[in-house]
Amino acid sequence: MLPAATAKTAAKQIETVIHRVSEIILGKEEVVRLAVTCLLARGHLLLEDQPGVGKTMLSQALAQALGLGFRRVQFTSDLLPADILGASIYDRESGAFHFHRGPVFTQVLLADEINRATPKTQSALLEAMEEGRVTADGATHPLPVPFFVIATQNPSTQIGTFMLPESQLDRFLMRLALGVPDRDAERALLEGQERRELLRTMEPALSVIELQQMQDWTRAVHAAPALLDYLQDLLAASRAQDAGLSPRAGLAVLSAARAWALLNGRAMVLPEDIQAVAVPVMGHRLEHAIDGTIGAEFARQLIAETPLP
Amino acid sequence: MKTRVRWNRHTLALAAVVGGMWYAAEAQSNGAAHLIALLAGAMGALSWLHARANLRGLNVRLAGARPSAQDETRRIVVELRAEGSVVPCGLQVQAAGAEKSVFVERVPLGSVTRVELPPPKGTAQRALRIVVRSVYPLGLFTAEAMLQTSWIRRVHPKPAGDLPLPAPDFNLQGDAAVVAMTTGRSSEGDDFAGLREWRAGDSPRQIDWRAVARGGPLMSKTWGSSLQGVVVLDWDAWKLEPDARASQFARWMEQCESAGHPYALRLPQAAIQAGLGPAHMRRCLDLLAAQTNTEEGTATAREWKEDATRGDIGFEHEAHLPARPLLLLSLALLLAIWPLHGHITTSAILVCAMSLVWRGPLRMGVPHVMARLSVIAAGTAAVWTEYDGLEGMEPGIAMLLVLAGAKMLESRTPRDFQIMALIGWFLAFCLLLLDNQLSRAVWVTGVFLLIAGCMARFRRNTPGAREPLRTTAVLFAQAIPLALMLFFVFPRGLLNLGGALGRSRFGETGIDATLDPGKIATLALSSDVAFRVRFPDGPPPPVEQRYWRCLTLWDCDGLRWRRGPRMGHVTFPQRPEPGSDVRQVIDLEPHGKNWVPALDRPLRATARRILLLPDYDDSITSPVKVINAERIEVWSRLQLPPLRELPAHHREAALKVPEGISPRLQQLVDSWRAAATNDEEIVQQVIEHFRTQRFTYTLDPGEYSDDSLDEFLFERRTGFCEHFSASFATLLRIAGVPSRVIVGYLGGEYSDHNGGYLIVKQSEVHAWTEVWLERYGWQRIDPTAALAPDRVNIDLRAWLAGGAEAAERQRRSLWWRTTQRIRLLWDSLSYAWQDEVIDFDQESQRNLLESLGLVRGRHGILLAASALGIFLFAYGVAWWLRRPTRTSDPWLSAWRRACMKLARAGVRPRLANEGPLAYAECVSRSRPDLAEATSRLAELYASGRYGGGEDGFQEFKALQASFKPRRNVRP
Repeated sequence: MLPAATAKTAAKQIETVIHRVSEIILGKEEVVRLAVTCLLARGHLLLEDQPGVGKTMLSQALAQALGLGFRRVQFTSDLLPADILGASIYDRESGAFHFHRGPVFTQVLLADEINRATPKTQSALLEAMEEGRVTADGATHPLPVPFFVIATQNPSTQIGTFMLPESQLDRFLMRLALGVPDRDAERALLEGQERRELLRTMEPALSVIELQQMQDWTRAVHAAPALLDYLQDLLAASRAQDAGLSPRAGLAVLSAARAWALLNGRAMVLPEDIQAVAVPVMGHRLEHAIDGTIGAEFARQLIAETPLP
Repeated sequence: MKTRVRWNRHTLALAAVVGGMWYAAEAQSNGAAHLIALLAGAMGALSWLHARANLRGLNVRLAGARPSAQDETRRIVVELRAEGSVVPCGLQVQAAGAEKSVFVERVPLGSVTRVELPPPKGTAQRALRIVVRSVYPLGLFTAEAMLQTSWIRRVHPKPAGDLPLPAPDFNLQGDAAVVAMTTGRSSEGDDFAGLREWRAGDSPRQIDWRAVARGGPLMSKTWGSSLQGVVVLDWDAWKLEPDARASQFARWMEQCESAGHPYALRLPQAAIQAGLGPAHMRRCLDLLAAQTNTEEGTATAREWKEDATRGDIGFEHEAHLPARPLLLLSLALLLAIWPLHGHITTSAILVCAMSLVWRGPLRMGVPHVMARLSVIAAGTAAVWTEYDGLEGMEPGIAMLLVLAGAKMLESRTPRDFQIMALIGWFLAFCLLLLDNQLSRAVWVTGVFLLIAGCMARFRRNTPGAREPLRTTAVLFAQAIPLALMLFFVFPRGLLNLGGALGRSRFGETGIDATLDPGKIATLALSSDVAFRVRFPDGPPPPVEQRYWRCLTLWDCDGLRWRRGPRMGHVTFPQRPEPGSDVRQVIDLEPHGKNWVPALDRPLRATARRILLLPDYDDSITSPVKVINAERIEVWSRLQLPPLRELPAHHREAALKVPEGISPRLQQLVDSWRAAATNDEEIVQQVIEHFRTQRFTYTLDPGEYSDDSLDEFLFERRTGFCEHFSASFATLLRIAGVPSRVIVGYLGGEYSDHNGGYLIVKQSEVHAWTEVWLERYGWQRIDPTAALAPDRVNIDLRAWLAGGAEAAERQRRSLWWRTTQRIRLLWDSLSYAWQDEVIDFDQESQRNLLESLGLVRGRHGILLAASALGIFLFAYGVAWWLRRPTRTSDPWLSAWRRACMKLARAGVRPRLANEGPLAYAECVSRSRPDLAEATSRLAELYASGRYGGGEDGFQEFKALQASFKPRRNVRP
C-alpha cells in the first residue's frame, strides 16, 4: 500500500504541472486535471471538440510541462498507416531494408483530427497504442516509455469525417471536451501574451523518471472492498442497458479513479474519485445511440442513481 | 426505492373478526375474551410494522437487458439484495404492467438473488418500474416497494402494413460508402454510373480528381451496383396514423433487410443515414419508438395505484393452495375445535373436523358443490334438532363450526387460506366464551399463535418452521404490551350489552337441589373449583369448622331428599360482631342455581351491593341464578346462634316421614325410642348404631334400588356421606326428632399465594344433618364424622388413599410437596386470572382509573386515552423505523448515524450516492459551524472504510457519539 505521505508529495508535484499547463490553457483547470489523471493512469486521451478551442495547445503544453518528447501528426483522408508508423526502406549502401521510424515513436503523440483519416490508418495507430509497439515487416519495434496519445476529433456533424467505431473508442481511457472558455478566461486570453511564446518559455515540472515513478504509485493506490462493491454496482447498473460497460471499462474506471485519488493526495480511492472520472471514462464507452451526448448523459445518470453500498 | 404499506381485503376481514370478538366479549362481559380480541387486533396491527420492516433493507436493481416488442420472451433481469438485518421473504416481484409476477421466497442476507421477470405488456411507453410486493408475515397488509428506473421502454413498432416499398433514391449513392463500411460489401460495381456531388464519408478514391484539377467542384464517381439506391423512409412523406406509419416503416425495413437494400430513416427530429444490418435496423427501430413515444417517463400516483391493484388480484388468484400449509392449518384448526367437545353438540364438531381432515391430512380435492351444500344442510339440521333453534351462543358457535367446515371444503386459493386462518382465530376464541379456566385461555393463546405461525409459514412459502415461529413469537411479544395497555384503558360497555350472554359451564358441576344416592359421590370425583374464599380479617377457621353451607333439604323420601316447598318465616337479622364473627369474601364459580355458599351459620351476605339475609332454612339464597362468577361478602357466626322457637309448620315439615316404612325399621327405631329419655340420647344411639354395625364409608357404594333405605341400613351397609346423612336424618324423623339434611362443602385447601385463600373444590362436596334439640336449637351433627372421623380433618382424596397416617406420610414426600406447590401456584394463577382478567369489567376499569387518580372513567376520556396511547405507540414505531438500516459493517452504521444527526440538525440529508468527503464539503459550505467536526468524521470514515486502516475506529466512534450538531439559528 502506498504511504499517505507519498501520496501527498506526489499530489504537490502534480499540482505544479497542472498549474503550469493552466497558465497556458486558461479557465480549463478541470479538463487539465483530468488529462493529467489520464496520463498518470497510463491511458490515452481523446479530445473531442470544435476546432480552435485549444486542443492542440493543451497537448503541447502537457508534453512540455512533463518534459516529454512531443510530436504531432495531422490526420488527413489520404494518410496511410506507414505515414505514422514508419516504413522499411531499401538502403542501397548496406543492401538491406532499414526501418525508418514514423512519428509514432515519441512520448507524447498528438493525433490531430483522427477522424479525418480512413479507418485503416486509424486502426494502425490504435493498435500501436494498445500494444505499445510497432510491428513492421516481421520486426517489432518498441515504442518509447511513457507513451501517451492525445487524439483530437471533430464532432461528427463536421463533413468529411470517419467517426471512430465503438470498438476503437474503447482504446481511449478518457474522452474530454474542452468547450469554449468562459468570458473572463477568454478576455485574459485576448489580452495576454501569444500562447506559443509562453509555451516556448515553459520549464518542465517533472522529469521522466519522476513521471514513471508516479505512474507506479498510481497503481499502488488502495481500493477497498467497499469501493469495489460500489464500482461493481455501477457496472451492473450500466448493464441494464444492452450496451453496458465491459470488464475492461471497469478496469479503466478503477485506474482512472486511482490516479484521481493520487492527484488529490490520497492513498486510497473514494467513491468521489470514481464519480469524478466516471463521465469522461464511461461516456464514450456507453455511446451506442443516435446522438453523441447520450453516453455522457447516461454515465451521469448512473452516478446519480446508484447508491453507495 | 419508495416503500409503503397499504391495507387489503384481508385487513377488512381482520377488522370484522376483531369486531366480532369484541362484540361477543362485551355481550358476555368476559375479560379474557376482551384480551384475546385485543391481542388479535394488536397482532394484526403490528403485522403492518413487520410488513414494512420486511422490505426495509431490500435493494432492487436492474441487471439484465431490456425487452422489446419483437422479443417478448426476453426477460428483465433484476437483482435483489438484502442490506438490513431482516431477511426479506415472501416477495412478489413484477414489472409494472406485466401480467405475471415472480415469487421470491427469501432473499438471504449478503448475497444477490437474481430474478427474471416477464416484460410488461402493451405498447405504452413509460419508464420501467419494478414493483416488489409482500404480504408477509400475516397476509393482512400489503407492503410495496417500487423501483423507478430511468430507462424508458422502447417498444418497437410491430411490422405491419401492405404498402409497396418506396422507390430507391438514386441521388443518395454517397451513402453507399457507409453501407460498405457496415456491411463489408463493396459498393463499387463495374459500371461507371456518373458523377454526383461529394458527400461526407465518400472514399477519396471515389473523388473525380480530374474534375477537381480542372477547377470544378468536388465530385464523386459512382459505379453500377450502387445504383440500387437507398430507400428513404421519410416520416413526413406519408399520411398515415402514427402507429400505422411506424408499423409500415418497420415492415419496409424488414423487406429492405431481406432484399439487401440500404435504407435511411428521416424523422422530424432526427435522421439516420443509410445502412444495413441488424444493428442499423435496431437503431432505426429505436428512433421510431422514440418518435411514437408520447408519454411521460415517471409514474404518477394514480398509475402506481393502478399497478398495485392489478398485481394484487393476480397474485391472489394465480397461486394455487399448497398442500403442506393447508395441512398445518387444518391441524391447528383441529386443535382449536377439539376442546369445544362437551360444550357444543358433537355433530357440529364432527362435521367441521371431518371437513378439516378431508382437505388437510387426506389431501382430497374440493368436492362438488352439491356435496358442500349437503354438508351445510346436514350440519344445520343437526344443530337445529340439538338446540331446537339456532338462537343463542351455543347454537351460534355450532353453526360457525358447520360453516367453517364447508368453507374448508371449498378452499382453493390463497385468499381462502387467509379467510380460514381468520376463522380459525375466531373458533379458538369461541372456547373462551364457553370456558373460563386459565388452562383454556393458555390453550386458546397457543392455538392462536399456531394459526398465526401457519399464516407466516404460508406467506413465506419455504419449508421449515423456525423462522415463522420466530416471527410469530416476536409479533406476540410486541402485541402483548399493546393489548394489555388497551385492555386497561380501552373503554368497556360502549356497546351497552351488559353481559347479555351467560357465561360458562354451569349445570354440569355443582350441587343440585336434590340429594339422590350416588349423586354427590359422582360430584366428588370432579377436580373443578367450586369457589375460593379469602378471610380479610384474620386466618381461616380451623379445618373441623369449615362446613360450607349451601342448601338445606327438608323433604324426605328415604335416601332421597328434596328441598321441599318454601316456608314462611320470621327473620331475625343479626348484626355481625367484627371480633367474634368471621368475614369471608367468596369468589363463586357460576353453577346455574340459586344457592350461595357460606360458613355455617351465615348471618348476612352482600352480593353486587345487594344485602342477602339467611332464609327460613338458615341458608343464603341468591334471588337470581348464579350464571356469572360472583364475588360475595359473607358474615358467619361459628358458634351456635341464640335459641329460638321452632315454628310449628317448620317442626311439622322437619318430622315428615316417607310412607312405607318397613316393619323392621320401625322396630329398630322403636327400640331406640324406648331406651332413650330425650332426643339427645336417641341421636347418640343412632350414631352408635352406625359405628357398631360395620357400616363402611366409601366413594363407590354402588347403585341402590327403590327400597334403598332398608337395603342400605340392613344389607349393604356401605355408603358415602350422602347415604349416611340421608338415612341418619330419616331415622331421626321416624324417631320423632326434627331433622334436616344440609348439602355443602367441607374443608378447603389453603394456598398462601395472593395473600392467602382457601380453595374449595367440587371434590369437597359433603352432606350432613341438622337436628332440632330443644336446648340448643338446630344442632349440626355429621354422621360421617362419627363413622370416619379423619374424613372431616383431611382431604377426601387423602382419606381415600389410606387415612390420616398415610396422608401424613404422603405429605412428607418430595413428590407430593412439589406437585402440591405447583398445584397451588397454578390455582393462584387461575384465581388471579379469574379475578383480574375475566372479571375485569366496566366497573373495575373505572375503579382502576380512579384509583390511579387519572380520570373519572367516562367513555370519551377513555377513548381519547386509548387514541393517545395508540398514537404514542405508532409514533414510537415510526421513529424506530427511521433508524438507519443495521449493517454488518460497523463503520457504515456509525457513519449513517452521524449523517442522520446532521439531517436532524437541519442540514441537507446525505444523498444515497454521496461520498463522505463530498458530503462533508457540502456541510461545511452550508454550516461553517459544523465544518470542522464533520470533516474530521468524514476523513476518519473515508480512511477507515476505504483505506483499509482499522486504527481510527475507536476515535471515530467516540467522535460520532459526542457529535451533537444543533439546529442552526440563522443570523
